[in-house]
Amino acid sequence: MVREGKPDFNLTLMSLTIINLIKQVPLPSEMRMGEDGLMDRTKAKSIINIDCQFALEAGLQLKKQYPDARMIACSMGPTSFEPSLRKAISLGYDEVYLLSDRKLGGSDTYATGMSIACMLQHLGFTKDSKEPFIVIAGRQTSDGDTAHVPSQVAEYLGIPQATFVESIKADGKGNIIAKRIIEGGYQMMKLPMPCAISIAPTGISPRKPSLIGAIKARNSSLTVFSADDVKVDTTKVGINGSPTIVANVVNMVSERPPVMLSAGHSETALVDSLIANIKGGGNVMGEKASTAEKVTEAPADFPVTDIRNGAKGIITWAELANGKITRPSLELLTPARKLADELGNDTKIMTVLIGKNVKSLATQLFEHGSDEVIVVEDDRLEEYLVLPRLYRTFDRRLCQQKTKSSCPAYSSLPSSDLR
Amino acid sequence: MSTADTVNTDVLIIGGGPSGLATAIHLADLLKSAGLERRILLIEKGASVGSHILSGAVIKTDVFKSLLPDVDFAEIPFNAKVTKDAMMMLSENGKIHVPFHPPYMSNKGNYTASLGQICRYLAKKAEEKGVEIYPGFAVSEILYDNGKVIGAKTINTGVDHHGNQLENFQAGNRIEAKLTIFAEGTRGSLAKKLIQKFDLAKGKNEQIYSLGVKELWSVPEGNIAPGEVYHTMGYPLRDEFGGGFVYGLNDNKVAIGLVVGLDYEDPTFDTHNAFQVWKTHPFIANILKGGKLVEYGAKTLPEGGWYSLPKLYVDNALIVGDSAGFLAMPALKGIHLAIASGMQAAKTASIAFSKNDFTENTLKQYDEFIKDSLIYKDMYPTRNVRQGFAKGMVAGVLNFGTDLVTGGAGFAGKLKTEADKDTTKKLSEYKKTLFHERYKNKLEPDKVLTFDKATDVYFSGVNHDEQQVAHVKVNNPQSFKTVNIEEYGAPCQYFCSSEVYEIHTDKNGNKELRIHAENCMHCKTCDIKSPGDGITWSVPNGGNGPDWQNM
Repeated sequence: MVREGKPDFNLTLMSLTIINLIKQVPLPSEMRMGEDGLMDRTKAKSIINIDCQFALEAGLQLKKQYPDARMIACSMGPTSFEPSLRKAISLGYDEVYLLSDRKLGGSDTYATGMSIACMLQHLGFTKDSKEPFIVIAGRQTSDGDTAHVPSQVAEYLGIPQATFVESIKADGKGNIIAKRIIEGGYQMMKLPMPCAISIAPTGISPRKPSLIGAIKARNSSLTVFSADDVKVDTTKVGINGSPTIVANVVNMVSERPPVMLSAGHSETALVDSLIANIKGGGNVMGEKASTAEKVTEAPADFPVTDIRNGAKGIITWAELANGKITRPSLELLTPARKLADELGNDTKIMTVLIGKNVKSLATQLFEHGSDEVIVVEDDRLEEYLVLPRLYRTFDRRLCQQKTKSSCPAYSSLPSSDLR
Repeated sequence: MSTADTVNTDVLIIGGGPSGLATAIHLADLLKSAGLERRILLIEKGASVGSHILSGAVIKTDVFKSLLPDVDFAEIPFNAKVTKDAMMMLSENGKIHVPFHPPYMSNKGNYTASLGQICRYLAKKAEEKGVEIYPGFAVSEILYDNGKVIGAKTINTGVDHHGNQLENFQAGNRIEAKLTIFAEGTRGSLAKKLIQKFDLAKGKNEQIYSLGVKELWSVPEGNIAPGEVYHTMGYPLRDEFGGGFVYGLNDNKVAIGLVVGLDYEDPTFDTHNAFQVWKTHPFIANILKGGKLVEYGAKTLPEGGWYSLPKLYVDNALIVGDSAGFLAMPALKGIHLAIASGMQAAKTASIAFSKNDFTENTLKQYDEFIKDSLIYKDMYPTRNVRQGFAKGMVAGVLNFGTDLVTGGAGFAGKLKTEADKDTTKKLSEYKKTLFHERYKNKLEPDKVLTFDKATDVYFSGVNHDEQQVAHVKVNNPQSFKTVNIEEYGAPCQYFCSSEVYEIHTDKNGNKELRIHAENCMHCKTCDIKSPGDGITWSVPNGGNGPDWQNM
């Protein structure tokens, strides 16, 4: 372990637990070919999700400042996740825990976040814990891609969070300084521990395991919890308990190999070949009949639950960057409009606009399809911050009750709040 | 007990191929019968056992019965029993079925196999016997104490291309062992250093090699039957020593390859491309018709034979398998010999443990065990065969003939070998047609039957970490330009099986070498065949390299 010189604070005052949440996923760029020359998923190797690998490394980097930190890695999933937890030990983690229960199968991110938080609470980590701890997770998984879980765990535990973070450092006073990625730059945030951080795969690359680590991993024991062990409310998890229903997942299949449009070793050669290819029609694909069938009806036995409780309407959120409404937030109004028209019943679109001196931007929202704009202005809201947004969202929920909106819609961007 | 960065073990086996695994299995058995409990640690640089293993293969299986006497032979994952075994002499458009087998080349009673599968099975058996196997770790350095081998150290990870430590730097771990077994396979990089340091090749012939390039195909039912084995001679080779193989496997798979002796003179000879040309011959093309490429790989084979074996032991260390050169000419069979050598090494090690003496005094018994084993029976009579072929096919066949009659002695006594890197002629000296001229209409890959190196490399599953020093190194950059590039035309761009070496010519006509180490198949050809001051191959990060599934 390489130490970067003496830390500038008294370590004996603080013990720290670093808790890493990881997930095992199939290898994204699987090179394993089946006999028919296609990807053979049954032979797909499993790896620790890439973002999680960066998160594990971030935890190990933080350990340089807290050499005696208790290093925990945990996961929620089937027992086939064991190799990834053992890999975490080989990288330098000490204790590993797996929350595994049939009842949790099919959980959406809300249920997952809640379940993992229950496991952490069961291990003794709550927002009132006397000893500081930090929850580190990867930004998002390659097989889920929601980036929800770290935030949901933080919310359930009631601790501050920073997402899309590139690197973290302790300030020696019980806080974590996080370098967070935002549109066009970085934001430096200070969070008191306990806190939760989600790590983007842009910082320090994951280290390779050591032989000694691998030997330790082989000889370590894995603790497996059931849903009852950690006191998860099983009515709120699994396929039946999760609020979200995944209606369909479509595999993007490439129907033709890549076409070379431009090739050469010099600028002239590149341009010449591009011109020749375009002239020869290389950039025109033949008409192909649409093969996808539009699914407009749910299958006959699909369980339909109406949780709207009389609410109606669609809420969207206008995200701001550099004082302007971002394009995706405007584009979002188009599907919102379409959805509103499909729902009928005079469904309205309300857009929430939060910031400093933003009222004038409301016109743009009307132009793009909003029926109502809810403006929340304050000088303190100039900088994007999660916690105040959260409270605004609570206020919005009050709004919701007033206006009985049924459907919040958010555009998803790296720097946007996702709940 | 191990300290913070040191692992202590009784035996360290470097390499998870057939020789290392056989050593592990047999030693575990012998120690158990002797009532001794000892730690056996086996390190393998591939991501998993088998990922760096490549062979044709047709295996002489008897030795497995000695290695695993309690196992039902049917449980061992051999592929198909050889049902048909033919030698074909190919010309550009024709073929002649050679109606007899050259001696030693009959495969009756043998089995086709994926050596990778066999090794995975052997690893399982070894672990059942308590051997600790850790794939994904590469040892880059031999550890010495007072001039004696005491183990090896894993490679430092988390460095940039220049070797500077990065934030995620991890120093390698020391593995200290009473006995270290070098089982790295062909042209083992640490075995090479051991041999140099202790002058183990003194008085021995230079080790010489062939490069084998192999593809695994899935073909329509009926193209070839499982157990149908063909060896080809002739086309597309001319002066080069070697030939092709076609092995029918179960599940409509076929293993094909071309093996070429690296003592050829043409500095532009390209084994991979010769292999692609060989596939266009109607005999092979028909077998592959309608099929799909599944995997690609390449590896060298040590062919010097009995006289090229170095001294096999020093204090605290033994060399087994291809690292020593246990391969029998002319059928190029080394798997059963690798296993046999592992078993003899295990016997030696077991004695060393009961006497608690790991010096040469005890380890020299390894030599005697080898001489009494099937290794001697297979290798000694053919000890001069390969050397004869250095002078061409006719001379080679004549020499082979006299060897047969004289029990291997020949009429000229011990024949010497010349290092492969020294047999290459300079461009100005080579008077015959250059490789690309010989096959000028056949070198454009059609991506159905024939493939370019880059496409083939994709099918090897190769992967190397970005953050590390390139694991192949030009020993003398100055002389590389004046000698390798200018006088020889940079043979590495041709002989490399994986397009690691690229010569780039800039606007002013200056040529420079670009190394794409991430493509490397770990075949070791560059370490063997690069003229002048040469290229040194050493291990990259553990887990890097090809990821062969069934090779």
